[in-house]
Amino acid sequence: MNPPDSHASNQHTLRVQSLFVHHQPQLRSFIQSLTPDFSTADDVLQECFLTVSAKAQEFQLESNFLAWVRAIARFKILALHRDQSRRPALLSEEVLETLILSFPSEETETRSEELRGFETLRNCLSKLAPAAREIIHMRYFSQWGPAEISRIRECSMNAINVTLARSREALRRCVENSNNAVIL
Amino acid sequence: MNRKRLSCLIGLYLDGGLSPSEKAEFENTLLSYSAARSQFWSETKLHDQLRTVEQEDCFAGMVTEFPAKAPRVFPEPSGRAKMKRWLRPVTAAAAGIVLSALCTSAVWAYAGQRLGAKSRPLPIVNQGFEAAESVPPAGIPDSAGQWSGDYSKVVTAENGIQPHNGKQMLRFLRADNALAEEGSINYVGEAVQVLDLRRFRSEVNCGTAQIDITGWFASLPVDGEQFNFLIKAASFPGDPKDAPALWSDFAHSSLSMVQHQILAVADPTRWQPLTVSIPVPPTADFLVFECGVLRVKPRITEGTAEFPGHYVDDVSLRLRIPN
Repeated sequence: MNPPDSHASNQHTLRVQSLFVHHQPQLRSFIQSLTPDFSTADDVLQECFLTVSAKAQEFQLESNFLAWVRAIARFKILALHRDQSRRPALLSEEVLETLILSFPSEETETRSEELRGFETLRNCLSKLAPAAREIIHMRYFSQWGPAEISRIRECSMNAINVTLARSREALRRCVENSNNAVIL
Repeated sequence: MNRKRLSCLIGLYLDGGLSPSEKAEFENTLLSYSAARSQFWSETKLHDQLRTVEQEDCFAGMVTEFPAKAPRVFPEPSGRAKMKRWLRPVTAAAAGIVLSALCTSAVWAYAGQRLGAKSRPLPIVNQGFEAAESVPPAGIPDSAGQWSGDYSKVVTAENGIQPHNGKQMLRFLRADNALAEEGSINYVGEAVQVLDLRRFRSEVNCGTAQIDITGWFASLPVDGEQFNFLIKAASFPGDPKDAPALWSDFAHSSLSMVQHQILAVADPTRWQPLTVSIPVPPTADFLVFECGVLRVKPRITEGTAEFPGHYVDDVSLRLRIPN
């Protein structure tokens, strides 16, 4: 049996890990914006989890978990930047720092708001034209890039880029209109 | 600052398509205008939301339903081709999920990979489909130690494909099963098994144990269609008899989950391995894991998929415990 202090320590780590799980959607959104490649974003997220687990004892439960974990994510992303040769899609360190400083952290979305947002987006997705819907599906479900999608669909990469851009714009407008409709 | 131009650059950035000059333009704009940075955060948020929504649907085996005004894409299902409906409520579908249903990886899985030090095989029932004549098309099993899933067939060597191990293998036939309900659409054919984790309690109570699930897949050449093979798994608290209900509401009920898929290579002489790793929280009582195939192209959203020549064999599990 573990000694009591070890038990308390484990409990604390578990609570911190639970906080990570709870806040993971917001953290992932933050990371995904700064590292748009899906697998890279996953790597950063996972590195964050490892660091959070390792440093759990340093975190006080009553303090701001999101701020703490975003600071960890910032270091992870900047560390990636130092390996820029393998990460050509990453923005420059100066831009990353500027963006991080401008992150709208005051926007603390509640769980119900987040769920409503997903529901709205799902509804908007259903309104896309079938071809656009399929390309969005390929991009975000199969996680193929425009080059792969263009090869599969046997059309130009430019056409795929245009469709993706227009689809996202249409989805943004649809979501905004839905939100406005709710407000009104 | 041109908002439309910035939106275009953000789109290229998200899709990895910025040229060096566009990247320079993008970065200058972001550095120069606070409004540009606000637009950046607003538009990139959608990128993540889309991924989340799509991945959750894929994990649940659902596809997004198109409006009725698109009958070309969604023809009326035939009597035979009844659809499988996952009973996941919409609110659950939209949930931020417990551990992120990322199709390529999961946080805890990765953590476990870093920690894995000693491992041992976990015996599962009928891992090579040698001891059964068929897999019941009964959806998610409600007890441990049996295969169940969608319509499939246990076969010996056929169509130029030799079993990866032993004399038999499983051929996926369709993406629905005997419990399927009308009104939903599915394109994933699956074979599913439940593993009771309670007997490994003493080994997984460290909180960082993980299970590696490996399956071997093969595909016949298929003209004009594209398929992916996949393995997905989730761990749950509770009794394995509740596995069907818990799996259908995985967003709320699972403790950990993972899914990975690979493009099916249409080559009957080649078996493709696929491995996923899932963490096993100390509170997990059982694991649901499934091997499957999904139709990607064309008409990913049309009807219940049938699989013209897709096989799985030699499914194995390993428990990894950190030092």
